[in-house]
Amino acid sequence: MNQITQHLETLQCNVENTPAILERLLRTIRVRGFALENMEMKTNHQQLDITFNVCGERSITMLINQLNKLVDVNDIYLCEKSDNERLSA
Amino acid sequence: MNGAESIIEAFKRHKIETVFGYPGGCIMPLYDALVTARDNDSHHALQHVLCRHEQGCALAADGYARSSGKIGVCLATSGPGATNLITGVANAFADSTPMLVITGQVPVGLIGTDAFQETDILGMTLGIVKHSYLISDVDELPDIMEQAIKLAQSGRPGPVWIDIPKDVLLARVSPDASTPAEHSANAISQHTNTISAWRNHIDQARQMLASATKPLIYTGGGVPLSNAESTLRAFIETTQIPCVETLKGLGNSGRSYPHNLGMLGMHGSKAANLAIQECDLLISAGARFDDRATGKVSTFAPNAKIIQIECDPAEISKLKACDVALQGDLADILPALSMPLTIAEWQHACSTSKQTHGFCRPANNGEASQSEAINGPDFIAMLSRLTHANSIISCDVGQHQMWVAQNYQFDHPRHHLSSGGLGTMGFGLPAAIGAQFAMPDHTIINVSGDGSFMMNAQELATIKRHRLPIKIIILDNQCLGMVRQQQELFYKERYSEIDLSDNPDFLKMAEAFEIPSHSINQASQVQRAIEMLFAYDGPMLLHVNINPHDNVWPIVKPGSANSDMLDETNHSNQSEESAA
Ligand SMILES: Cc1ncc(C[n+]2csc(CCOP(=O)(O)OP(=O)(O)O)c2C)c(N)n1
Repeated sequence: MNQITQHLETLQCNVENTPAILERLLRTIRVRGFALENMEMKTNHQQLDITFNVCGERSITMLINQLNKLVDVNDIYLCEKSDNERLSA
Repeated sequence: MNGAESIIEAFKRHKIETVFGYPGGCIMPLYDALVTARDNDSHHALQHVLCRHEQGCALAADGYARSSGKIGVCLATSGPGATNLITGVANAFADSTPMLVITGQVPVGLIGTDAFQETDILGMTLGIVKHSYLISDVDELPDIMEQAIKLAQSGRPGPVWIDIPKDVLLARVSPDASTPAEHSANAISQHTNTISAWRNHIDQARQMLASATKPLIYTGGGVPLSNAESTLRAFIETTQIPCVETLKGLGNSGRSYPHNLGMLGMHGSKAANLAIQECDLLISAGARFDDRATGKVSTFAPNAKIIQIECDPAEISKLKACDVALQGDLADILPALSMPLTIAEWQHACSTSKQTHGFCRPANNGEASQSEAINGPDFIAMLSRLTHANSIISCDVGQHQMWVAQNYQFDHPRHHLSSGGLGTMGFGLPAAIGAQFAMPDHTIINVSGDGSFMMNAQELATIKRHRLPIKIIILDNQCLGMVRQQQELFYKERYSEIDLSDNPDFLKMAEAFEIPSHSINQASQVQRAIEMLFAYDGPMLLHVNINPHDNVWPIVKPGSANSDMLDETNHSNQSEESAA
């Protein structure tokens, strides 16, 4: 069997708090080949600040590009590895 | 003004004049507003087309949009009305068709109570829309209509779905909210602004093009979607670059362009697939490296550097890493990349390959002997020869669809309506209806298979009602031909559920809808039958009996490299282990 390399990455995003926004984010993560390991969410007026830990074999840039296409996503970025360790600790 | 009337106002603002729909309980307030609009507004001729199944509505809206470049609109009620739309909307999503979908929903207070005809349509359709809205406050409706219409048509287009509870449709819109706010578009500006990121990389791309010895352009459905047909024609005129086209890009470079090698991919021409293997620079323009086009993607364009022209950032290097990405609008980028090229040797090699490996059937059925059976590809070649320049062909899905792609010489991408991304059997008839409403002066021809035709045959009633002069051609091979072919080649001839030898009498079906029809089964009848179709000025159905054993050649086994094309002579002993 091939050796599979999984990466754990942390994404931080700001989204509009609209109907189904969480479903949109989560289904994109699932369909594009990632598993959710951890998630933190805070409401911020009409918006949500969300941090995800996701794990997968595919390119994280591709996932970010897909998430960025969601109309209610205002802003999304990949955290540095040091942030990763902090969040998954 | 109530919510429903504000929807009609939005149609009026955006000059939306044709909508395809089917009424029912929760969407009734909108149907009531249609009556008011018809009675009170002589300036805005809003036409509602009642298809006979909501899937027909969505696919007709898709055909309307594809043929004209305008937005397609469909309406349905909650529950079964909304779920019936799903296949049509998924079809539009897969092919990036600009579409607005409006459904009724149960009243706000009943959502979540398992009410009559309640379905969570927003949840069910998240994966097949560009965006969607569930409206709970009528004052949001005018702004959301504005955003939705804009979103559906901007950047990479797609379907936008608005689900509206019945009580919201009936509620009064407060005067301040009744015209969309100036800022309503700001909320989505990030998704609608034109991108000019390409400017940073254009010099590099120009250098690559100037130094390439075997450059090739690969164009797709993005060309018509960005209205870049004439820009592309100017580009190839200047560069004289050899080109290949995807299924949805057929017609992009025009039937008379000498360096057009035709369709690439699974059923593409050998000339197109070989050019991809050979080229040292591949410019992808509005194409997305779909597996039906690339075959095994790791073996696609193995010797080439890649310049990818693309408006959707998520498509860049998604399946095949590119060397330079030009992100933005094709119509802006192609002129900036254009330059005369000195590639005579490569042009010559491509022309020679086109002569030997291109699709160019002689279309000589006229001379066929009395008793010869009709061959599907020959029929299409003859159709191509006899049709007028302004004919639009809508296809269904299967062998007949591929024979059209291979043998019909398209001169414009909007003249070929084919379900590419989703491959939806049943697309052809409703798409032809939509196209006929959008393009009343064009001849609309639906080429269908005996399997596909039955999937939306109820739309014959829509043709009857409006006396739409659509020409329906059924290539009847008494089976699900494309599935039969794959079972023959890849499943050791173990045929499973492909028999349609007990098809209904298609002529009697046509008669039931007052559509004249006739049937042919010999090659010598083809030319006259096609001429008769065009001589008649109303709808007509031509039933064409073809040989059930005809196959589509060449074929690349799903999952294989495009260089491994099979044809009549080399197809034995293929098994299905890796087929996808
Ligand atoms: C809605 C739908 N169901 C099933 C399929 C799978 N499928 C692809 S081609 C095909 C056979 C089509 O038969 P027909 O319309 O008679 O065309 P032919 O291949 O014989 O020309 C089938 C079943 C599909 N593409 N769409």
